[in-house]
Amino acid sequence: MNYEILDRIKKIFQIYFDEESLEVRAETTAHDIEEWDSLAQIGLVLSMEKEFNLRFVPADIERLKNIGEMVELIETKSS
Amino acid sequence: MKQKVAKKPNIFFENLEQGQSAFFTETISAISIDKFAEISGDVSAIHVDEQAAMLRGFSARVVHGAYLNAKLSRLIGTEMPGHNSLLLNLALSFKVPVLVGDEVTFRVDVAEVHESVGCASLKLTVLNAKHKTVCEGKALVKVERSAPDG
Repeated sequence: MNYEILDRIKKIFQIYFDEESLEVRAETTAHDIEEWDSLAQIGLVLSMEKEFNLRFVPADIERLKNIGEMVELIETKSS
Repeated sequence: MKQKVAKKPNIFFENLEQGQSAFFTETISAISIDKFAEISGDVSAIHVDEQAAMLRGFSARVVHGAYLNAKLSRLIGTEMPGHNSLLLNLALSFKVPVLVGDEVTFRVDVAEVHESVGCASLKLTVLNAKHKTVCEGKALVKVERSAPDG
């Protein structure tokens, strides 16, 4: 697990949901955060594209099961 | 009253490109602002009372900022990207007061297309007759794909 990427994702979530104490771990899913709905999903994905300076395709996003897989995806796309 | 739906071709997400734009020009009438004041309930004196507006230093009644917002919404929802779009957020800054009788041009430009989430960032501009920007902002819209995602 790339913890540097995980930390940056965690910060994105904390800013987006305006909740400094929000915990985001590798196993976190949309079920764990009540406000994480389809609209939030769009905002989060766009924030991550901006933060990591990369572009996803819809299939990238659809197959993700949790934040850990997002970390792996970003790591793969950045390398 | 039956509403007429504009017969414009629908733009699907796949046809959306950075740089596409749409605009229209309108001279803002007193009747439009009277109606908007009634619908919105914003009957603040500077919008509905010419004397009050003049006392505040304006040469005519001030157009509601939300009126400009509504006209940009019309452009987004019926032309760029049009009927296949859903407005997710919109933010505006009002730079110069627009007065009743002013001619203004509303413009929407596609600033960025976000393939991952089927959305587009739009640049919003309202210009007066002297081509000065009186209002500017941005919006994010979700646009339907012609075929389902995946």
